Amino acid sequence: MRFYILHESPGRIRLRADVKSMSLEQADLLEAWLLSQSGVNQVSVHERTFSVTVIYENDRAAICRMLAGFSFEKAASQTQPLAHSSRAMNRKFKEKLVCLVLCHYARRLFLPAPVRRVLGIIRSIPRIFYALKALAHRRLTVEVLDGIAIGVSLLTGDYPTASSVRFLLRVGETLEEWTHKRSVDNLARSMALQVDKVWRRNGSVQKQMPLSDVVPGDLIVIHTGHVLPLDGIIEEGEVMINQASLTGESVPVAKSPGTAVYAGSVVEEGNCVVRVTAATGGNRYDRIVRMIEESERLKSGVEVHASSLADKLVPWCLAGSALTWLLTRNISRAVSVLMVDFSCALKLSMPISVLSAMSEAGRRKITVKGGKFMEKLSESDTVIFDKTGTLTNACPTVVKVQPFHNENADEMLRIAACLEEHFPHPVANAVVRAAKERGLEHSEMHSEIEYVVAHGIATKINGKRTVIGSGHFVFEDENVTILPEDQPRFDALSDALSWLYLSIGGTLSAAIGISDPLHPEAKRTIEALHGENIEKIVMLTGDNKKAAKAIAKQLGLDETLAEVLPEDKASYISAEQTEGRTVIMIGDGINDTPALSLADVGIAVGNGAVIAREIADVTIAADDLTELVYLKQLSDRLMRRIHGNYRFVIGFNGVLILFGALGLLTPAVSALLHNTSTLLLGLHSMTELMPSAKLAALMPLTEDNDKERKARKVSYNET
Amino acid sequence: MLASKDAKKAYTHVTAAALRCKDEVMRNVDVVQENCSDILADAKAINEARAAKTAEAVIEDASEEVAFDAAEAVIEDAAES
Repeated sequence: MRFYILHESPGRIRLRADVKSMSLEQADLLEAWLLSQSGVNQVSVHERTFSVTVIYENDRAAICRMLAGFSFEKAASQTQPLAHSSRAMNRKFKEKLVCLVLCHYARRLFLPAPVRRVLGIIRSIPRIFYALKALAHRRLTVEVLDGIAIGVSLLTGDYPTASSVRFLLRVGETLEEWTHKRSVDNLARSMALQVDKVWRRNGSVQKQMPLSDVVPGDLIVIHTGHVLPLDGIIEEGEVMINQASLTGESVPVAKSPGTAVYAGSVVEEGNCVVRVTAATGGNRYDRIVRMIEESERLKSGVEVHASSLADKLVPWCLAGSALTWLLTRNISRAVSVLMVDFSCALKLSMPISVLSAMSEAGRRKITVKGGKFMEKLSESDTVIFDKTGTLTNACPTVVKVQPFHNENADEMLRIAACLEEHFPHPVANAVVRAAKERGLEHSEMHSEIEYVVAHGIATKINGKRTVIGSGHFVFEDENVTILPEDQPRFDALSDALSWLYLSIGGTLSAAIGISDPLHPEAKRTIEALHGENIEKIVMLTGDNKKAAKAIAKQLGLDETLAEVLPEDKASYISAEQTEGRTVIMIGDGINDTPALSLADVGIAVGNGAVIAREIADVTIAADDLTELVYLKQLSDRLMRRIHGNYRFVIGFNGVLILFGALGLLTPAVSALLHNTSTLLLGLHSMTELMPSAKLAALMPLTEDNDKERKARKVSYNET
Repeated sequence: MLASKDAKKAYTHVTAAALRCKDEVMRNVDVVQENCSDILADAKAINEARAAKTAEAVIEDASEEVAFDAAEAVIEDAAES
């Protein structure tokens, strides 16, 4: 396609596509295609002006060649267009805002004053109504102040002020709505994208395939913790299903073969095979959007903090104007105090700050499900990590099998796998995998299985009681003994591994050593978090105490709790909260969900269980713990900005009020100053919180490199 | 009169004109936005160039390397002798 270059600066080029028209879909396609090309960092396409801005890093000629080779037909076959782009929504809100601004000034310019007055009175009615409603509920909120300001200015005949107050309020509200819609949209899109592959069973073969290739009648296999991607009927397996997304009922229900299950519900326990009854359609995305909107989390508001800050000002404002009236006995001066409406500036700048912070996080694939979580993040002083899958790689492996009293290692692993295969847990999976890798097959040799949640499994093999599980479970609960001749070997077991003990007939038969390597950046992350006003970093794990202690020492954790059960995690969090701490919980598993929902901020990292991501307040897509530090810094900066804005609004407008009360400023000048400052504040709130230069300085990775380089240099000098 | 066919035609045209007007306005908003981002990008480039220039106007501290070279020379001398 032909492009005209409109503007160029280093690393950035803006062009106009040589087309007669561009639809929203085409603009999305062009943007997606350009982003998928190598060397392209950022793209923005404006469909109205056919303008394309490309920020690139490699040479310009390659970019030009690539653009020249573009055509919509070719791109359509190469790239998957975004199923649900937010282009139409952004366009709608942009139009709404522009219309709001233009109409406001057009009315001022062109409409005759009497008509404007009548319109103004009509438009003020709802505001006054809201104020009365709030008063009826005995609450002094910003609505009251807005209502009084508008009502009083109408009564005193100050129509322009009433109209500008209304105007700023509406702009603020529109921006707030946009913030909300956008965060819901981002969230839904990231969630809709995540379940795009399913396991289809064909005879005895299971094959992973894209969801879009599934047709009605196919059998798909759903495992614990996964979301049902499609409607269907259960063919095999008894499962507990959480249908909260459909019914709002959060207690899971049991489903057996023959019953219908619906897309969007989550399998909490068990595995099942589902016969698909309806193929995928656009309804899945809509369903996710509805689910998110229905969840109270988001409705509880993005700008809770801002409005409570603004609410606090209301009595002061009223008192101020009463005082002015008492001192001066001049109604118009008293009213001028009310006219400088703090809430406008706050209501306008807060959503903008929050919106820009959220989209800044979104650019790093971090989804924050509401502004108040950023507030909580910045207040937090305690971080609780779940070990497996969060601090570690979530893929534990069996590295050692230590048999006792003349047992055979392979035979022990075989028995362990035979028991553990019934247990959906990463450690259990590791045992089963290890057995498979060594080619150990087994027939079901045990009688009925008894689970002890988070501890282990007990059963009978050939009439002998067989248990497998944590040290606590095997030695204390089951009173398993170690034969004296085995004691030296038992003592020699390495502390660095977590051990699973197998006992047959009351004595220890084998220990299976499981290694769960830590994330390479875990230590750095914890150090960085300590530097970010986090006082207490805790690790919760179901592992034995030995292994937990070893990790705690290695990472510099403040506290560890070993051998915890899922409900212990939640009660630990509520204990911390009653001590007045603000708790962040980071986890990824199904058994973390009670803790995630209880914590002030629940964060799901990486590719954990879908239900964890659904419950979490923040999801981080990257499997990188340092994102946590970034998020904490971002929320700190956001809160600093919000408080800075708050102080500025109060200070600046306070001066305006004072001057107004003293009669130094005419109302017109003070209104102009007030509006201009509000607008500038809004613009300032839009700027990035974490400019890339600061980000590079903050990221410990480069610092490490630096240190390493210096260290190398020193040692070089010494030789 | 106000509900007649001709009037309806007039309303339709007026509405169409209003919609065209809105599109034109929105297009102009986009143009302004694009030009603003051009200006911002250029301004950033200017500042980067200035920062690079300031960085160039510094003589790097090379005392360690000089010391290292000297040490190396000593070692080499020792090896030769």
